[in-house]
Parts: sequence; C-alpha cells; structure tokens
Amino acid sequence: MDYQTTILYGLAFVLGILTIHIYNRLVRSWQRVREAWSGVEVQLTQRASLIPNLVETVKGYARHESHVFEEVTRLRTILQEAPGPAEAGKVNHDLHWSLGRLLAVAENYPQLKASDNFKELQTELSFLEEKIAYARQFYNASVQLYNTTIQSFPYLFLASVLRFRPAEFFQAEDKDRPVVKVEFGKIK
Amino acid sequence: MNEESFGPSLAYNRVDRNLRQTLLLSLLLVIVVVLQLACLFIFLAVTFGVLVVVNEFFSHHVLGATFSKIFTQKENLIFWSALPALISLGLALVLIIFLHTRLAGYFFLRSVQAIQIRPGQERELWQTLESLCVGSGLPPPRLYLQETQAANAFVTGLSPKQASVVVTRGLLNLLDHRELEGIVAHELSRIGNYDIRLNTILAAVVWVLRLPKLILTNLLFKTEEFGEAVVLFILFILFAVLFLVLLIIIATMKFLIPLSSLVLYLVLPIIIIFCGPRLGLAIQRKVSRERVFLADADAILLTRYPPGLTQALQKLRGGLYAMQISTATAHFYLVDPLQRVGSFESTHPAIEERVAFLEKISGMIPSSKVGEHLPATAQQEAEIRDNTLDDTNPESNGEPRKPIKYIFILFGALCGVLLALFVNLRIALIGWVLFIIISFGMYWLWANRNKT
Repeated sequence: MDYQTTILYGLAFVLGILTIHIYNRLVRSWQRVREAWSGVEVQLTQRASLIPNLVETVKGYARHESHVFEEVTRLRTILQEAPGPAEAGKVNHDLHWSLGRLLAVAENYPQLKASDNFKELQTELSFLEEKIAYARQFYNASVQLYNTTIQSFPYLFLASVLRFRPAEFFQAEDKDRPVVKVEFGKIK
Repeated sequence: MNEESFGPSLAYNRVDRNLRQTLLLSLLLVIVVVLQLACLFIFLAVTFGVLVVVNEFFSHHVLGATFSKIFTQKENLIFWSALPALISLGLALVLIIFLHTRLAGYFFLRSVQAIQIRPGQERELWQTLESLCVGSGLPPPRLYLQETQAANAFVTGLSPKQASVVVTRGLLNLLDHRELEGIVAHELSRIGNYDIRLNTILAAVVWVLRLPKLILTNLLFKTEEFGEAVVLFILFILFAVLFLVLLIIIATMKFLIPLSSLVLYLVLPIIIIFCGPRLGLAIQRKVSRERVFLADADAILLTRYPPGLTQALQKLRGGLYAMQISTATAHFYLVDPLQRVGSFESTHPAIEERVAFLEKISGMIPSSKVGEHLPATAQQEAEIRDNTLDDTNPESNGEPRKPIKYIFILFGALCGVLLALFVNLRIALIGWVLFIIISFGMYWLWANRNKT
C-alpha cells in the first residue's frame, strides 16, 4: 500500500471518529433539554394539583369573587394542554399573576387569612413557585447550550442534516407583563 | 442581566471540565510522588548495598559479590533501579487512594454526630435544598443537622448520588432565608464540581508523599505509638525486599552504575525526600483554595442572587465558624473552622478575599463602602473563645522549624560531595552512610531537646 492510500485511510478514520463524536454530542445535548423540560413539567403538575384545593378553600370564605376563580381554573386547564414550552411559558406567566390576584383576595377576608388550611396552602404554593422558577432557569440554560451547539461550527452540518431544530425557551421574557395600576383611593 | 451573560449549566459542563482537571492534577502529583519514592529506594538500596559490600570484607557471599559488581562497573543503573520502585509504589499509591476515598467520608460523618433531617422536618431548609437541586440538575443529597452553636456547614460524598450536606444549628440561627440559600448553593456546587473527590485524592497522594520521610525519621527513632512503628517497619522491609530482588535481577543483566555519580545519586534523593512533601502539600492547598472560589462563583450562578452568599460570608467574618476538629477533615467545611488563613498551607482563602471576589464578579458595591460586619452576640463570642485552638507554638509537636531541618540536610549533602571529591570513593561511601546516621542523630536530639 503506498503512502497516499495510507493517508487517505487515516483521514477517513479520523473523520469517522469525529462524526461519531459530533453526533453523540448533539444527541446528549438534546436529551438534556428533554430531561430539563420534564423537570419543569413535574413542578407544573404539582402546582396544578394544588390549585383546585386552593380555589375551594378560598371559595369557602369568598364566594362572590367568582371572576378570579374562573380565571385561575381556566388558565390551569390551558396550561395542562399547552403544546410546547413557549406556549406553556405564556400561560404560566398569566397563571402566576392570576394566582397572585387570588391570594390578594384573601387580604379582604381575615377569617380566611387566619385559617390554617389556607396558610398551609399558601406556603406550599410559594415553595412550588420557587421550584418552578429554578426548573425554568435550568431548562433555559439547557436550551441555550443546545441552541448554541447546533449552530456552532463543527456541529451545524450534521445538525441540519439530521434536522435538529432550535428548542424554545420557557417564559424567557416578561415583556407581556401587564402594567399594574396602583389606585390608592380604594384602600380603606 | 439576561441569561445569555451567564456561563453553561451548572451540573454538566463544569463536571466534564473538572473531571479532566482532576485527572491532570492527579497525574502531576503521581509523577512527583513516584520520582520521590524512586529516590528513596535508590538511596535505601544503595545504602544497604554499601553495608553488604562492607560485609564482604569479612566473607565471600554471593550477595556481596553481586553488589560489589554493581559498585565497581561503569554503566548506568539509575534508570533501571527507578523501574522497580515505580512498579511497587504505583501499586501502593493506587491501593492507598482507593482505601482513602472509600472509607474517609463514611467515618467522618459518623464521628460528627449529626442528625439526619427527613423531608417533614426543618421545612424551610429542606425546601431550599430541593429548589436548588432542581435548579442545578443534581439529585438531592442527604441532609444532616449538627446541634452546635458554631456556624458552619460541610459536605461529604464522592459523587452527587452519595453526597451528604451537614448544617449546624448555629448557622440556621444566624442567617436569613436568602443567605442560607447562598450557603446551600455553595455546598451543592462543591458536590456538583466533585470537589470532595478531588480533595480526597490529592490528600491521599500527599500522604503517600510524606511516607519516605516518615519511614526514614520514624524508623531510626522510637515512635509514640508502637503500632505505627511496626506498620512502618513492615512496609519498609516489604518494599526494600521487593526492590532488592528486582535490583538483583536487573543487575545480573549487566546494567550497572558509575561510581563517580554515585554520590550525586545519594545527595539528590535526600534533598527531594525532605522538600517533596512540602511541595506536594503546597500544591494540594492551592488547589483547595481555588476550588473554594469556584464553588462560590457557581453558587451565585445558581441562585442568581449574589448578595445572599456575600452577606452570609460577611456575617461569618466575626469568627463564629470556629470549631475543634482534626486538620485532616477541615477542607470539607464552608469556612475553615481552624482559622488558618494567609499561609500557603491554608485550605480556604480568607473571607475578605472571597467577599471581594464575589463582589468583583457580580458587579456589587464593595462592602468596605457599605459598613461593618454583623457583630456577634455575647453568647456567640463566648462560644468562639471556647472553640478557638491555641495553636501559636509551631514547635508544640516536637519538630524544629523548617530552616533548621534543611540546614542539616544540606550540610550532610555538602560533606558527602566533598568526601567524594577529595578522598577515595569507597571510603566516601562508608563515610557518607556514617554521616547520615550522625546527622539524623543530631536532628533527633534537636527535635527532642525539650522533652525529658
């Protein structure tokens, strides 16, 4: 075998190893994104199971605030059926604010505020919201890594051939936060 | 600050990079250790061989004949005598590291008397830990609480799956929620960065580095503990026998050393044996300090709230973290409980340095412009006084300070070289051995001059 053939074989071998490495890296990156997303879903599901309990408790004392209850229940259902992270992010954002309004309702009902059941649920909810925030942070970091990888130099060829698409961030921006108007006149 | 300005996810990329770093550093230290131990065994074997040659004056023994061949021919043995040392001591190193990593953490946790916290107890602490685990992608470690007023925390466990975090009651009382979050994030970062595994391996390697010096100094004098002396003696015999057997095999293959460089081969090992442990220790401590900075940085990366950890460290500046523990385990803690800072052998950087570092990388206002650290209450101050070790006398363990030891060694080396240059070489060898014994004797006398 002459040296040209040897070099050719050597080059082919090295390219083969590189391709394997690149493919594995892409797969690993993508699986981490999926794993991170399942972590987010776990926390969202836990909160979703908490919400009916919370709504019932508040309803027990504040029957007339029905618009808040309906909104919370509606958003909860939509969140469970959200197709992907970006959609889920928007709905989660709205749900978070609705829950805030629900808890604010309790301010006007001292009996509700003092009840142990409500306090327990409130603490649980705050813990869960913290976990959701951390899960979101972790998921977005994984997505950022993955998106960067599939657009970086050696990986982008194989990524486009194998149809690795960029993943969506979960609730990355707060652009849609409604402007809260504070009306001091209403405070008694 | 948006998410793009921060680095990669905590758990994954850091781990890859740190595993590589661990490997490289371990390799470096292993090379240093092996060189050192090779020197020891060359020295010991040659000394032994010299004694056998002397013995040959009185009898014709086959062993003596072989060694006299070694010392009168001119080829190079140094490389081939290093080889058996490499083999036998490579095995010893692997064994010691394996034992150390498997057993140290387990016994440490048992000795500390911490109570495990179940998910229902200490809710806030547990939830903080769980949230941070969600944020970092690590499995939740076991959580323990130690009932002591000293405010400190530590981690054990070689991998995230086997990790444990211990927090003291004093720490829980001292810090608020955000600060506690910063501290737990720091501990979790240590787990995720495999810091404990790295430090344990390095500590084991440094211990092996001390072995030659230990063997040499302790075998010649009585040790406090008879058991320790027996173990060391047996080790020495085993290694010497193994080494000499291999040496004889190699010597019969006609690789032999030149006499003129023999003295150099005796002088250099002595210097390496005594300076090596210090160098290894300095490397290990430096690595430990750098890892603390890394854990701090990863903690604020995880919590996205730098003032949490920074204020917690500020609160600890008063010395509330002091505890009486053995030096071997001090590097696991959040802040060094033995309060050794500033020297090259401290395992943690000073709190002021850590605070300054965090402020720099997170763009906060430096605390010097803001105010004093939180003063300790009277009860906490009394606790600190009870717990701070009185370690001002470096000669309390009987060893003379560094410069004096090294003077003895260098003096001995110089005498050896002079003898070799101006006197017959065979006499130089015998004289050299005698001188080693005399200088060790002097060293021992100096070291024990304060004892009755």
